[in-house]
Amino acid sequence: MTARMPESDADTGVEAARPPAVLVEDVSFAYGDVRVLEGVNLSIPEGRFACLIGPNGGGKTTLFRLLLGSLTPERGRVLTLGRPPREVRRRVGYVPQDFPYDRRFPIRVRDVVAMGCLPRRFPWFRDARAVAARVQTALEQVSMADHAGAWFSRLSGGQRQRVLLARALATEPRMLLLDEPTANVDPNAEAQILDVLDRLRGRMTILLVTHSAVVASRFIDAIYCVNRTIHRHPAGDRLDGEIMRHLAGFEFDAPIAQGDSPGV
Amino acid sequence: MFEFWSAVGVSTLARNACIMALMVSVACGVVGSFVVARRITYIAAAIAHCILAGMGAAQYAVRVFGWTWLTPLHGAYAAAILAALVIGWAALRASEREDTVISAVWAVGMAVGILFIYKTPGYQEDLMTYLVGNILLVSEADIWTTLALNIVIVGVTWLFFPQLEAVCFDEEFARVRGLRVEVYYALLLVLTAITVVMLAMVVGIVMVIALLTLPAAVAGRATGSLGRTMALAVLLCAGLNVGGLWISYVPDLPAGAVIILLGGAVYLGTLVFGGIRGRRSAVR
Repeated sequence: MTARMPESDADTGVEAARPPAVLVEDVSFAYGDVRVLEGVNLSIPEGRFACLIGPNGGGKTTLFRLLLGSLTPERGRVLTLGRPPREVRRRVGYVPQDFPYDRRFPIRVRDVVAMGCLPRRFPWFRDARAVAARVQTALEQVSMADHAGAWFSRLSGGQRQRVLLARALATEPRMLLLDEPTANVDPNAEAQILDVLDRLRGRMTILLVTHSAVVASRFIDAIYCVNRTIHRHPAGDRLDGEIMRHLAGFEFDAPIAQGDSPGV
Repeated sequence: MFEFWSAVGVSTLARNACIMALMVSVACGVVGSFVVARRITYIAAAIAHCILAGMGAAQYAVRVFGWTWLTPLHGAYAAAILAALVIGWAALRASEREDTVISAVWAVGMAVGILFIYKTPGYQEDLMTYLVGNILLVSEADIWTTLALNIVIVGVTWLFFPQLEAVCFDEEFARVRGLRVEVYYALLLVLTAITVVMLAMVVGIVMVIALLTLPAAVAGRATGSLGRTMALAVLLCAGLNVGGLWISYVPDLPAGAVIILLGGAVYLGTLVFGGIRGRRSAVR
């Protein structure tokens, strides 16, 4: 495999003064003997919409967990929003790929979204009205406000993903990490989720893991291919099938919308 | 048919049994709902079987060392909480597979209990009481202890409900939000341990898992929130316990077994009813 160093994402001018939303320097990580990431470097400025693609087992979810502070790199340095990930993870919204949730778990949509307002230390410190307002706002952002009292278990796959997105938004994040949010939903639900992301674009840094060429080519600023190392495609490039097969293990040929891209 | 209710009016034994049956329902409904939602019923079963070790060790200490201040119930609580913490540590920290640890704790707890009972002079006859329970033997001291522990369980649940709910629903998200998942998980297991000991007094060690889970499982099918599931499970458990006592009283049947059979019948009924209703709505 070609281990190319990524091109720097750091912009000049005002953005250069602010720490990047994501800074990964020479990071390696292994689960036991299985090496997942090797000497990875990555820098993404705040406010960008970046897409991570790559084969299963390529290290995308591991990279997310490093950015969230759930895992610690065995070598190298990870900074999220300019700080060690554990210190700022409450400002990072996370939508997991497929969490082991029990279909029969008795919980309403508003209670799922309210988890984004945790931790609330004790009930007597709970500001129920403020929590309810945040939940309502988050549900409106994903067009699910009408379903606040619905049973989570009775929602469709696409609706559940939007509720999980609302839960991440209820954290009032500066950065949003989405791990294949459209993987198990029909095209209609996928379009609704993408519309939500389109509306959020520019208001926060968004990192999206996807296998979908439609998603990757629609409105993102840059594509990063994660497969033990990270290879960056700047906006305006065409994803060359040969490179993608080499790095990601699958054919992937999609133009990146130049008009939407501020150039990273 | 009314002999049981007449007995409750005049007999301290029957009255104590009835009060105990109602009181354990609170812990059973509240903690059972967490256990079913988090799918840790087998952990609760392993904890239940470790009770025997605690009861056996306590009784051995009383007979052999003369520690008369110690009761089997003290031993049961200590062993259950210890087992809960060992399993919790293994589940979250150890690299060993969780099901293997649960099986090991389950069997070792039973083995230790049997050894103590075997070596305690004149004690073997009580083994069946522990295994299948006898609610008619509860004392007033047991009732006061159960009341105090119920207050602790309800209080802790009220204080930390959002955190416990989040840890049960999505552990990874809870961790990302900065919750100390290990602490809340251990807290949940300790609450489970305390509840299991309470319920073992009613239905015995081998049937405790059914009483802990059946009311919560039935309630969970009928409600859409964990809080309401708890409330309904408390009512269901109270109904099952008192109903079981009532049915078993005149024919002199073991109350624990009747309570469990009643619970099983209700659960089966909701499954069948739910299946029929599901098919009807599918046809429509």
